[in-house]
Parts: sequence; structure tokens; C-alpha cells
Amino acid sequence: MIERVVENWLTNAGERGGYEIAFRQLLSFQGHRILHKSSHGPMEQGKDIITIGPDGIPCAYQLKAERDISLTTWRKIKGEVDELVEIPIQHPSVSNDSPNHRAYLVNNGYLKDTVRRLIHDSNRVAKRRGFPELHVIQLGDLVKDFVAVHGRFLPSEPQDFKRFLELYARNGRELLPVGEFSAFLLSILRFDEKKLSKSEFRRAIASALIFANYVISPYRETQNSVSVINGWVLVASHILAVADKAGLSGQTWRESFDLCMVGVEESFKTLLVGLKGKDDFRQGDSLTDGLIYRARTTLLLGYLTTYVHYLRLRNEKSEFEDEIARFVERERKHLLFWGEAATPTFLSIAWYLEAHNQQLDAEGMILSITQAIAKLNGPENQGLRLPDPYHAVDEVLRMYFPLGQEGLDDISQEDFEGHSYSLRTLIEWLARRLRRQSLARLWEEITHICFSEFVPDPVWGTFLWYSPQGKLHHRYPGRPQSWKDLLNQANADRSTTVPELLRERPQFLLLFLMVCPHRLAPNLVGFLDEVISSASE
Amino acid sequence: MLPDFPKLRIQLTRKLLSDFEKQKHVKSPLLAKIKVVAQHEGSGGTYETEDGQIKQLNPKHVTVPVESPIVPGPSFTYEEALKTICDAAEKMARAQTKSFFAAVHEAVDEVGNAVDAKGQPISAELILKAWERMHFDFDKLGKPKMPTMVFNPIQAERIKHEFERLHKEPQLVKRGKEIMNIKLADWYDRESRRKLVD
Repeated sequence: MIERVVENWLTNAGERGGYEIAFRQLLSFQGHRILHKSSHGPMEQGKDIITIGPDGIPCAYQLKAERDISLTTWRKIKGEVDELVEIPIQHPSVSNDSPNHRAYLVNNGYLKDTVRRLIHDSNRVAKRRGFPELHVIQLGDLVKDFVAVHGRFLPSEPQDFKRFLELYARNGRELLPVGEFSAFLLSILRFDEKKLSKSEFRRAIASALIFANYVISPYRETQNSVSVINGWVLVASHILAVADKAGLSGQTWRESFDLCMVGVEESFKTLLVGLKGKDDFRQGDSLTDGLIYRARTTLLLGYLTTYVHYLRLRNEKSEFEDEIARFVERERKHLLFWGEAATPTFLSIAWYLEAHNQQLDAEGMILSITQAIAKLNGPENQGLRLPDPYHAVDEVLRMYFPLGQEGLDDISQEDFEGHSYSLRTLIEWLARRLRRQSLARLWEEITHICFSEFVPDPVWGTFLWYSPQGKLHHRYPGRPQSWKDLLNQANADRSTTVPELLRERPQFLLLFLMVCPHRLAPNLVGFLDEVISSASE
Repeated sequence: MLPDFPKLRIQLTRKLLSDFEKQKHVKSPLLAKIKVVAQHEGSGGTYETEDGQIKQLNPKHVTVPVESPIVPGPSFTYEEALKTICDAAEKMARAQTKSFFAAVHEAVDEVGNAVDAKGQPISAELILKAWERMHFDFDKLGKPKMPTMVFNPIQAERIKHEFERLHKEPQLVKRGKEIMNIKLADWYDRESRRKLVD
């Protein structure tokens, strides 16, 4: 069965990027050291991926998604293939004295007989001229190799397999159901098994990453980049959870984590290319689109600004910076604070505005959502309240419209009055900007709201969508509250309370909070505030 | 395997669960007044009381059995299923109410807030005595938000009579006003602390 799924996924991978990350994971699992991944420009010299093989021989791969390669297709790609074979690998890690590299043409289909014959003949000529032979990896080889990586790390229970098939068959235009995806990843990673060897952990992680490719593929096909980003971030966070829980060395998991980040970066680029030149963020049927336009805009501005922070924290700059600036300027009037799950989005936009010399606008925005929480979840409000961050945007919109979700989920049975998961974080954010008068004006309303905070225990629970263990704490704001104490608390260095794996990669932290907004906590945002502000200076 | 109609049955289960919740609140209006704060992950935690004490949150598991409708033969109507659900809802309401009162008793005992009637029947005087020890909030116009008081239904007539006395007998009215004035002053004092200071 799994062979059929892998084959189906591969043949439907509409473009090279559809299986490239999974293929790199496959190589890594087979013992290759990946040196280079091409940005697919003219400098790639026919080589999409360069590795050092397990036997020390350099290898170069050209990836295609051509289904069956006919003579016409072959003529189209021959230039690249010739470069793959004839131009030596130029990379600092590959010595000029190295023997000939191995050259591979990888395709998610098969070769027509005429082309196979041509390659056979070319290889004889190449051998005479001292060039390497061209090896071909075809659909059947890929299926066999991918299935081999999974080993026993397949959905083992019927319900896991059912969940996988349901995820795989999802409509790619929806948002990725992160809770279900997380449960599926845990089943592949054998998260509850205690005694896995180091090599088994490597295999489990590799298997999860390749399975993630299958699950994400419907979203990639429809260019639903936000869902693809969510998917990769979630795989990455689950890798961190396994690494932390089992105390794995970086060697076992870092390559896979980095591959997830490649997936994230490529999806951001796809998103930005798709948005380039657009006058607005409208999508699909105009009759209903206006009703969800603000929610979509909020999501998009959150992700776009998060991407800017992500790059800045890596000392990089997006080629789309001007485009993003235009989007933020043009669309920010449509922002909608639909629930507490949108708090990381608003923080990201506020940090972006600060970095672009719009300090007052940034503070005004955070002040307004602070006030919204205090008012809407306060005792005086008789209308709809702001759902906690465990409720995703589509679920909340169903409540607002209202579409009648009686019994469909728990949102209709919960009461959000009198508590908030993000209020304390926002108050501290404002306190760090010395907004004493504004907070003083709001303090009476604020004191009616309990600060709620879930603390996963052990720490690895932080990286999961649902932490099986941990405690929920509710605390009232100070009545009265000393400004001096609040300021000290907000400015205290709490970086040591940030999980080490997140502290080491702050560029991942904001992305993670966008996907798992219920993990937003004052210490994490305090830490991010510090690193993002420093990076912007 | 016989046709199982799984999707339809999931929807029916949801509908019955929703009716279960509604019936529970009909059977125990007190439960309907209690806010539901969901804990989505982990287990337990802590909370802070109005007077600043930190208490442990130890959720208790309350279950009731739900049996198939007692009907001749395997087929039954939605109304018959609903009757079973109503019975279960009543049992659940009773179990949750019991658990609620146990928690209230524990809290009252802890702060020494209990009023001992010493075997006397409920009276307007006792109600005033209880008010003296209770925490009252007021609205912006200074009107008290009267607490929910729970009595045995057998005493309904008597309670009604005693409350009438509270509003009619000058002595009791005066005492009631005095208590409320003290409570209002306490409330003003509490409210005045809701501020950001140096």
C-alpha cells in the first residue's frame, strides 16, 4: 500500500520542488553529506544537488519532474545534462584533485527506449573522453528508496494509516489541520517508544520528513504557501521535540531540521512570487470573499513580516522587501484581531513597523489589541468574546458569522470571559516601550482579566501541538500594580527560561509561534523582543 | 460488515451530546451559571482567588453510564434516544452539583466562612448573617450583584416568606441596608485598587 502512495505522490509532484526536499533527506539518510543545493539559476551548471557520497566520491544530481522522458524532452534538457556530466564540481569542499564525480539524472517518471539508448551511447563516448557516466534514477528506483527509508517507521496502527490517507487526500486550498498533522507525526516518530537507537532515531526523523512531503503535497500543488509553511514548521518543531526528549546530538537531526527550513524558505518565495504585482489579496468567489478578506490579510501580513524577521535574524535580506513594505502599508487597514491566536501575527507586524520607523503605529496597534482583550473578555461585555489561542481562524469565523457549529467542536461550550493567554505578554511589550499612561488608563479593565499561561513540563512538550503534560496557571494582574515592578518584570532577562533549542535559533521561534500561537508566553516574546530589536538596529 | 452510516452517526452523536449539555443545564440551572474554562492540554495547574491566594487546580473525572433506550426490538426514535440522554443528563447534573458543593464546602471551611444555624430553620436573620460574611460586587450605579443562593426545594415556601420579611420588616430592612453599605464601602475600596501606581 505504501508503495502505491509513494508512487502516486511522486508522479503527481508537479514540479521539481515537489520531491526535492524528500530526495535530499533520502540522500542524507543514505550517508551522503550534502554540500550544495542550487538556487536553480544559470550558475547551477546542471547540478541541483552536490554531495559527498558515503564512499567519499563527490556526486552531482540533476532533478527533473518530466514523467516519461521522450526524445523531444531529452533534446530540451540535454544542455543541462551535458553540464552535469562534463563540468567538474566547483565547490570548496571538493578538491580539484578529486576523481571524477558521479553524475545522476533523477526523474519522477521513466525514460523512453530511444532516450535510454542515447544515454547508453553517450556514456560510451563520455568514458573515452574521460568524463563520468550518467546514471539515471527513475520512478521505480525512487519509490524503492523512499520506502526503504521508512523501514518500520510507517503508520503502524489502522487509525494512523487512516489519518495519513485523510491528510494526504485533503483539499489543498484549506488550511493544514495542524493538530491532526501533529498527531500523525508523533505516530511516525514513535514518540512514546522509549528505547530507540541513534540510527533508529535518524530513520524515524527521515521517515517523518518524507511522510510530511506526502501530506504537504496537496497544499504545494495548489500553491497554498501558508499551509506549506505551517507544515514544515510543525515538522521542524517535532524534530526539536524528539531531539530534546531523547537528548540527541545535532548530527542525528540537524540536517533534517535544516531541510524543513529549506521548505519554509521556498514556500515563502512561492508566496511572494504569487503575490507580486497583485493589487489586493482577493481570492476566488467574490460574493463570499469579502467576508473573509480581513482574516486572510491578517494571516498574510503576519507571515510576510515574520519572513522579514526570519531573514534579518540570519543577517539576510529578502529580494521582496519593497514588495512586502507596499503590502503592509496598503493592507494594514484591513487587519482583524479575530482571536488570541492572532496575537503573534500582530506582534510580528508591530516589530516590522518599529523596524521601519513607525514606532507610534506599532505601539498603537498593540495597545488596541490589548484594549480589545480587556473589553471583549471583560465582565461588561454581553456579546461575543475573543476565543483563546487554541482555536484556529476558520473555527472562530464560523462562530462570528454565525454558521451554527453546535456540537461540532468545543468553542460553543467554552466561556472566554475573564481570562486571556496573551494579555500579560502584551502588557509587558508595552511596558518595555514605557507606555505607562496608556496602561494606566486601561488598568481598571485589565484587572478583571486573569493571565492564563500553560507551562509544558517537561520542556520538550513546548515543541508539540498538544503537550501531554504540563500545568495551566491563572493569575490576576496586580491590584494595585506598581509600575516599577511591572517595568522590572518586563525588562528582566528571562532568556535562560527559553528552551535551549529555541534560544539557539531565534529565527525559528517567531515562525513557531505563528503556527502554534498557544505557545506564546511572556518569556518567549521578551526574548524575541530583545533579539529582533537588536537585529533591527 | 453491514452498512453502518458512520458520517450520519457521528452527526447524531454530536447532536445528542449537544442535547445532553442542554438538558444538564435544565436539570441543574446552577451548573449553567458556572463558567467553563477549558484546559486544552496537560493536567491541572493553579489559580488565584479574589483575595490573592494561590490554589491548586485538581480536575475530577465525573462519568455517568448511558444505556440504550429500553424499547421492544432494535429500532427506536430520536425522541426515545433523547429520553435516555435526559436521564443521563440528570445523573450527570446531580454528580457535578455534588462535586461542586463539595468544592464549595471545602473552600468555605478553609476560610471559616460557614454560618452555623445550630439546627434552626432558615430565617431572614440567618440570611443577613450569611450576607455579612459574603463577598459582594456592585455594578457601576452601586447596585449589588446579588449572590446565587441554593436551598432545598422543600423549603421554597419558607424561603419566599423569609425574603418577603427582608423587604418588609423595618428592622430587617435597616440591617440589610447597613450590611450593603459596608459591602459597598469594601467594594469601593477594592475597586480603588484597580490601578497602576508608582
